[in-house]
Amino acid sequence: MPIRFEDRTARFEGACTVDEAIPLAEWLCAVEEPRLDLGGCTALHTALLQVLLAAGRPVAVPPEDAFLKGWVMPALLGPALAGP
Amino acid sequence: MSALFEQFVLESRELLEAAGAALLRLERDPTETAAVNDLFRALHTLKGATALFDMAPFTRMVHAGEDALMAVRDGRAVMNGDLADRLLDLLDIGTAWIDGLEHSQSLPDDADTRARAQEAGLRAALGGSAESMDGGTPAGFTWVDELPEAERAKAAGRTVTAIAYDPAEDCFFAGDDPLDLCRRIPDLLLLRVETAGAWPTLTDLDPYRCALRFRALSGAPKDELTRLFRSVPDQVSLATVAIPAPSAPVPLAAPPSLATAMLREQARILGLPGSDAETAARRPAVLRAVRNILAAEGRNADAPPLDRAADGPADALIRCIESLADGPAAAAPAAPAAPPLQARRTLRVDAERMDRLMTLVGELVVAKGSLPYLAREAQQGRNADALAQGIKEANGRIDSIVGDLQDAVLRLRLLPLSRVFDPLPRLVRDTARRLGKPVELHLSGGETEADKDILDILGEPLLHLVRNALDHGVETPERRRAAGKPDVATLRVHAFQDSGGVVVEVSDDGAGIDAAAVRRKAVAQGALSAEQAAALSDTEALRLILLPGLSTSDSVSDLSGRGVGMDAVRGAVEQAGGRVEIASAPGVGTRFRLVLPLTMMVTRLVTVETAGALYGFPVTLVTGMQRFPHGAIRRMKHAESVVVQDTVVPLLRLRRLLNLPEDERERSGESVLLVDLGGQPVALVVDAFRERAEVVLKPMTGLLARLRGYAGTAVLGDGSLLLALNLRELV
Repeated sequence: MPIRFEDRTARFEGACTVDEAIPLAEWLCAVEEPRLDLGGCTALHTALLQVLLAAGRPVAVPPEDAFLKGWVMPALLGPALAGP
Repeated sequence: MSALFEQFVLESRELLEAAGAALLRLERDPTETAAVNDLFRALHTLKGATALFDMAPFTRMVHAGEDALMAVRDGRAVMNGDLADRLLDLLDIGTAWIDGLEHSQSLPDDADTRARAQEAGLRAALGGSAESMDGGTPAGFTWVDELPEAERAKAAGRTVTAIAYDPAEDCFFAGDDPLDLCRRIPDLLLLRVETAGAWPTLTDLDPYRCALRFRALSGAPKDELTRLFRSVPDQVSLATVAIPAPSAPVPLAAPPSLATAMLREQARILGLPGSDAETAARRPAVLRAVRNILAAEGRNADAPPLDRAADGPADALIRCIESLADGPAAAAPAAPAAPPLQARRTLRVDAERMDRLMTLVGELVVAKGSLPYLAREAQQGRNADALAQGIKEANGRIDSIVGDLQDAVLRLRLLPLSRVFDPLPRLVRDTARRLGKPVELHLSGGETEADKDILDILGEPLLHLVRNALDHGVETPERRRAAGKPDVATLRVHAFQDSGGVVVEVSDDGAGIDAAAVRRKAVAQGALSAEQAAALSDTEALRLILLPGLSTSDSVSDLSGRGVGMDAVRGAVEQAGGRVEIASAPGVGTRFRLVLPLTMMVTRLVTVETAGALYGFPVTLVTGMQRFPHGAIRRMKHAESVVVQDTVVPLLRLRRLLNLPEDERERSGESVLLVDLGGQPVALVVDAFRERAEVVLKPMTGLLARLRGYAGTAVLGDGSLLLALNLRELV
């Protein structure tokens, strides 16, 4: 299971696929103060990225993957700082 | 210079050479795919190497070349003369930059401009595809220009491919993952994830409709990216764009120097608040520091203003130090004086030859081992005969090894002539194109070896002869047709080894040299009288073109015909101890032959004795030795002459040439050395002939270097000194 939803934390692990998009969106709507842990994420499907961007929640643990860290995180930080 | 950089310089040179050769092949036969591939590979490797050292303009220029080749390979463009010209030009610039890099380790200031010019030129040659010209960013890619500088820093100064990827809304259903596709962009320099509009609330969001757009820059060529995005061609657009280098710091410019920072700090220290006593105490310390910094920077010229300010008020001193800090930056460090271009002193040696040397040294050590034994024998008072026998044997062994050793060392310096042949195809191609004379060049014998020094000397004359042959020898196609020759002229450059020397022949099937015209010209220029000219055989008349200032061409072109060349050719070849031979038949062609000794290190001399001293003449100049009875010497006023093989040859006396006293000895005839001075036979009276000698000539140095007439000195086997004469300077 690439995304593990544990109570208040969503833990992204390995290649997270398009199938997680709906569960992720639902979880984000349901949890009061969701905590996003992308540390173990090696690939993020575009659909998941959209959900994260739309949610505008801060990422607690940024991904270690170079591509995600270098190019995707700035996009996630941008709206988070500016507000959606 | 780091070893890596050295390697880069060396390799880049080879790559540029390889690219040049491949390009010439390609131009000759545009369908030769192997040549396209060779060329492409060379450029690609070169591009990679330049990128390694962060030389943006270089990378950019080579990249442009690569693009052009890609167009040729894909059949979008045709390799024609113009495109080849441009690419060759590009390679030339590259070579010049590499040469510069070897000395200064930086590209010239105008590198970026030139790279851009090359790029634009190549595009124009390719038919100026509308996308991506230098000034204008292609439509739809204005975002590239609007990028904040920080974001495009990685791509600054490069030509990159801009990618605008607007995935279709339903792309997820087609199995696409746009972000993953972006991850696979090679050499990604920038990626921006943008949203098509404001996000709806999370509850209204349809995660399966893609609402993202991607903007990216990649250093990879457009073709490679087209391949990557081949599944979504309708959603992506690509363009090659040039990202300007950041306005202020050029990537290669030195960072603000440490000296500047230190000087600023000194100025700041002076300005610090404090009691009068404190500031007074700081001042000498600051001054000392500033002086040391200036001295270390070699800026002695800046010392006087500092001295003047040193005694003035504190703020004046601070200003002075601040201006010193700005000093070198503002006054743009004078471009480092171009260091004299030295011939490369590296030599690549076959491992096999090195091994042979090693073996010989080993043998020498063994042979040496017999000497202590002989010494002990001598001490014990052994029989002198047996001892002499032993010494002779040891000497024989060592002698033979030293001989082999000498040979092996000389062989280390032997290089194939292909080194001097390499520039010829390009020269012939360019010259032939400029003159509108189609020429086929045949090179052979490039594997012939000669000493490195000989090769260095041979290069220029060879270029000259080839240029001459194209300019004067080869006729225009119309004339050739009229003369019943094929349109395409043939130029042959052939090298081979002859008895102890290397021969290089340059022959053309052109108009030939008209001996009568040469005679007329020589007479008109006053080099000869009409009678003298008439007395010359055709072969001798042809040699007149080797005289300074004599050119048979009526027009002075930018190539040749100024009469400065052929005597330079002769000069260089003779300096190396060789000679020039000319053969020509009007209407059929001309053949120049350069005969050079195999090596310059050991010179073979004919030694003669005159007035009790030994003198040597290069064997290559000597055509004969003969004794003439007094009666055979004709005298006309002061001029003497002898007849040699039905030719009247002027007779000179070495004693007179050297201002030595006349020979008072009683003798029946004279010993005469027959010498060929560049086609001019001369008979030289000497006291006596001695043996031939193989010597290592040392040039005259110091005060003696200014003496004319001497080629150098050598020590003979018996310890006596030999003066080698340069007859041309004496006569």
